[in-house]
Amino acid sequence: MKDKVILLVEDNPRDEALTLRALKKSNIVNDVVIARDGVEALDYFFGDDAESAKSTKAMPQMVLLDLKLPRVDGLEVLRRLRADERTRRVPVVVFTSSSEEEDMLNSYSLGANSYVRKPVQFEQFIEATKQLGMYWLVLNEVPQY
Amino acid sequence: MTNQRTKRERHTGDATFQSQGETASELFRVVVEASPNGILMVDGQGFITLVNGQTEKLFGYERSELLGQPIEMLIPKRFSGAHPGHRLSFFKHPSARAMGVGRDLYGLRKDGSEVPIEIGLNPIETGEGAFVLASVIDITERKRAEQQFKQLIERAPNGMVMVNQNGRITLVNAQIEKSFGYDRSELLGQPIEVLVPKRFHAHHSAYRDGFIVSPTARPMGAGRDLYGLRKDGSEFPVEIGLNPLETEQGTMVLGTIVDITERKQAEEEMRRSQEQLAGVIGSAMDAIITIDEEQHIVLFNSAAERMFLYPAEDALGKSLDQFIPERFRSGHKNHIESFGKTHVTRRGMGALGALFGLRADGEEFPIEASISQIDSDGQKFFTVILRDITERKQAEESLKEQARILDLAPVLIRDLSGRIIFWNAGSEQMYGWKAEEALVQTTESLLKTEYPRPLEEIKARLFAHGHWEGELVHTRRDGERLVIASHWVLHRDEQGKPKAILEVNNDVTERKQAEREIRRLNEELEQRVADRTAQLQAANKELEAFSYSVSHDLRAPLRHINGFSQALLEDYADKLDAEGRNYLREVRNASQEMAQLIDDVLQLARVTRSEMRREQVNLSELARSVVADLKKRNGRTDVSVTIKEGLATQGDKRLLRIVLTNLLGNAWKFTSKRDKAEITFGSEQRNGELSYFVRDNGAGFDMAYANKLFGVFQRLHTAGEFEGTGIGLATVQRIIYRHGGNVWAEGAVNQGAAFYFTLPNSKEQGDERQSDPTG
Repeated sequence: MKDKVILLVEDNPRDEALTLRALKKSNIVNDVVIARDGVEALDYFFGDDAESAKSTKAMPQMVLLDLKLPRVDGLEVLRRLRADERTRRVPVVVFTSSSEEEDMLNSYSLGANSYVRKPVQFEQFIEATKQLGMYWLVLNEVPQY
Repeated sequence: MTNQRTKRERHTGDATFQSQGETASELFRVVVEASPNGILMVDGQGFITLVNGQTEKLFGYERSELLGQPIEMLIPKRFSGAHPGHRLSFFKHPSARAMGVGRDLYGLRKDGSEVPIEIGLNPIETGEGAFVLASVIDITERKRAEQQFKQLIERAPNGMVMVNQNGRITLVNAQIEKSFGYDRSELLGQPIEVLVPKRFHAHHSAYRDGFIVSPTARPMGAGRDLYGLRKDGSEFPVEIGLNPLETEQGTMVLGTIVDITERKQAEEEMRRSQEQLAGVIGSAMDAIITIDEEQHIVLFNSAAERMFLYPAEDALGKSLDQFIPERFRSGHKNHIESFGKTHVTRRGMGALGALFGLRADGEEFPIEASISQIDSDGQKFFTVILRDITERKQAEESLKEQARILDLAPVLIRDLSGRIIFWNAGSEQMYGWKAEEALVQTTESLLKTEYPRPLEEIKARLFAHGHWEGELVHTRRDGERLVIASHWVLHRDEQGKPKAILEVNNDVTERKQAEREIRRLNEELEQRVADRTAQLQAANKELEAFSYSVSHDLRAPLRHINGFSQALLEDYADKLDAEGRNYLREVRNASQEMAQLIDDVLQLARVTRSEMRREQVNLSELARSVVADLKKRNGRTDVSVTIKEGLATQGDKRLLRIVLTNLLGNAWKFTSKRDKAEITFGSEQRNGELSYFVRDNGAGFDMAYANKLFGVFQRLHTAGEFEGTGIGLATVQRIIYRHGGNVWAEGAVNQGAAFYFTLPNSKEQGDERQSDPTG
C-alpha cells in the first residue's frame, strides 16, 4: 500500500494534463492515479480488481473529483463512496468547472470535504492546486484504515 | 121704617129740583147724563140722591133701584164696613180730592162682580144741606193695559230695567233677577249703578244725564264692550238697548239688557274653530287651494306651497292657470265653470283622464284631485284638494313591472291531490300547454314528472319544512325533456291547514348543459395548463441543463487555452520572440475575459430563475462585507468608503449581495483613476420613499445615456478605459425588480455617479456612522 496517493477523477485529457502540470509546478510529488469516468473511479474502490489486489491499491489521501463525467457522474461517485463504510471518510475535493450553486449544495450534502472551482487563469489554477496539496496532503490528518 | 121714609124724602127732593128752576135744572141733568163718568150724589147720611146713566151702566142697576139707597150698596163687603167712617170724615173736612189715594178701589155690581174704579169727590153745599158729588171712572181697561205691560216686561227674554230721571230703578223683570242674582225687592228704588261695575261708575251718570236730554232709542256703549255687575261681584258681558218712555212720572228709561256671555263664548268658539281649521288646512298633507268665481286664488296652504314650489303670498289673487300645464288650461276653466252650474257640492276630478300639475320650476307631475263648492254670502268658492301621486304612479309602474316579470317565471299551483289550479303565462310558454289545457290535470300526467327521489320523501320534506327545492325532469308538450330547478312552497289556510302547493319552475336544461360545458372547458383548460406547465418545466430543465453545460463545458476550453498558453510561455519561451510572447498573453487575457463573461451571463440567468428567499437583511453589514472583499481583491488604499449604519430590509440576502457587489464594484472600478476616491452607501427619502444609493466621485456618465445603463451588454466606456462585461447593472435591475423595487441612476461625465434603488419593507435604523475600511 503506497503512501498518500491522489486519485484524480477526470475525463478530459487536457484537464488531466494541466492538473498534473499544476501538481508538478506545486511540487506535489505524490502518486496520482487517474480515473477517466465514474465507473473507473468506483472500480478503483469497489471493483473485483480492487478486492483481489488490495495491496496494489491505496486508499487515496485525496480524491480530486470532477462532477461532469461519462457513465456515472461525480455526485453519484461521491454518494457511493459516502454510502460505503470503507470509503465514507476518504477526503474528496470536488474539483470542477461549475460554479452552479446546486452542484455546490449537492456536493456538500453528499459529504464532499471541499469544493474548488477550477480557475481559468492558469496561475490561479496552479495556486489552487498547490494549496489543496498543502492542506490535504500535508496539514490534514486522516484516521488510519 | 126709617129706610122707607128716607126714600120718600129723597124722592121729594128730586121733585123739588124740577119745581124750582125748570131751565137750570134741565141743563144740570143733561150735563150729568152726558158725562162719560158715572156721577153720583150722596147726602150727609150716605143715601144716594142722584145717579146718571153711566152709573146705571157701570153698576148694572136701574136708577130707581139706586136712588134713596145707602151708598154702601155699591161697595164690596170687605170695604163697606169702613166706608161710613171715611164718609163722615169727608163731610167734616170737605175738599175736592181723589178718593182712596194709593189704594185700588172697586165697585160692587148688582150681579155681585167687582169693577176697578177711580173716584173723584167734590163737596156740594145746597140749601138742603151738604152733599158729595162722586165722579166714578171705570178703569178696567187701564188696569188691563198696565197688567199687560208688566207681564210683557216680566216675560221678556231679555233683562229689562226701568229707571227714573233720578237714576233709580223703578222696575225690573225676572230675567234681571236671574242675570244679576238679586231679588227685585233689593233693586227697586236703588240707583242703576248698583248693576254697573265700579270702574264705569264715574262716566255712567254723565251718560245717563245725556240720554235724558236727548232721549232716542239706541244701543248703549257705541261699540265698547259693556259689562254687568252681579250681586256676587262677578261681571258678565252685556249688550244694552235704551228706550225713552214717557210716563205720568215723567221720562223714564227702559233698558233691555242681554247677557251675551254665551254669544261671546260662541264667538270665541268660532274664532278658535276657525284657527283650528286654518291649522288643519296649513298642516294638511294635501295641497288645498280655494278659488273664487273668477278663479282667482284666495287660499293656498303650505302643502300647496311645497307641491308647486310657490309661496302662498305670491299665489294669492293670482289665476290658477299658472299651476296647470298649458295644454289643460282652457279645458280646466270650463270644467270648473260647468261644475259651478251643478248642485253637486263635491266630487273627484279627472274621471276622464290623468291630471297633471305644473311646478314653478316647470316640472309636470301627476295629481289626484277633488273639488268642492260652497256659497258664502252669495259668492261662490271652489276648493280643490290635490295630492302629488308621482311616487304612487312610480310604485304602480313598478308593481306592473313586477307583475310582468313574475309572469316570465313559470309558476303553477296545485291542490293537495295534485291537480293544477293555477297556470301562468310563464308556464304556458315553458311547457307549451295553455292554461285551459293544464288546469285540473295533474303535473305527473301533464308533464311526466321524473322525481330525483321518491315522491313520498319529497312530500314529507315539504310538509315538514314548508318548502322543497330540487331538480326534476319535465317533458314539454312537444316531447322535449327539460331539466327543471323546482321550488315548492306549501300554502296553508288561516287555520294552518295545508291547502295548496306553489311550484316555481325554472328550466335549467341549458344551464346544466352550460355547466357541463364549463366543466369540460375547465378540465380542458386544466389539461392545457398542465401541458403548458410541463412544457415550461421542460424548457426550464433544458435551460438549466444549458446553463449547466455552459458552466462546465464552455469554461473548460478556455481554461485549456489559458493553461496551455501559459505552458507554452513557460516551456518554450526561448523559441518565441517578444511579440510572440505578447500574442500568447493576449490569448490568455481573451480567455480570461470570456470566462468572466460566461460567469456574468450565468449569474444573470440565475437571478431570474432562482427562487426568492426572503429574510431580514442588514444592508449596512452586507455592504461592509462586500467592501472588504473588494479591498482584499484589489488592494487599493486610496478609497474612502462611507457606509450608513442601520440600513435593514426584507429580501433575498444572496441576491442583494450581488446588487451591492455590482454597485460597489462599479464605484470601485470607476473611481480607480481618482486620486482620492470617495464611495458612499446611504439612504434618503426620494418621492416619499426610502431610497438606497451608492454614490462615487468617479468617471460618471452622460445622463443622455442613463436609460442604456441597465441594458444587457450595454457599456458607456470602452474596454480600454474600464474593463467590464455590461451585464452587472442588468443583473442589479433584475434583482431589484424581483424584489418589487425600482432602480435608477444619476450622474454626469467626470462628476461621479449615484445609483439609487428602493426595496419594499425597508426601514432606517440608528444614525449614520462612518466606516472606512481603509482607515
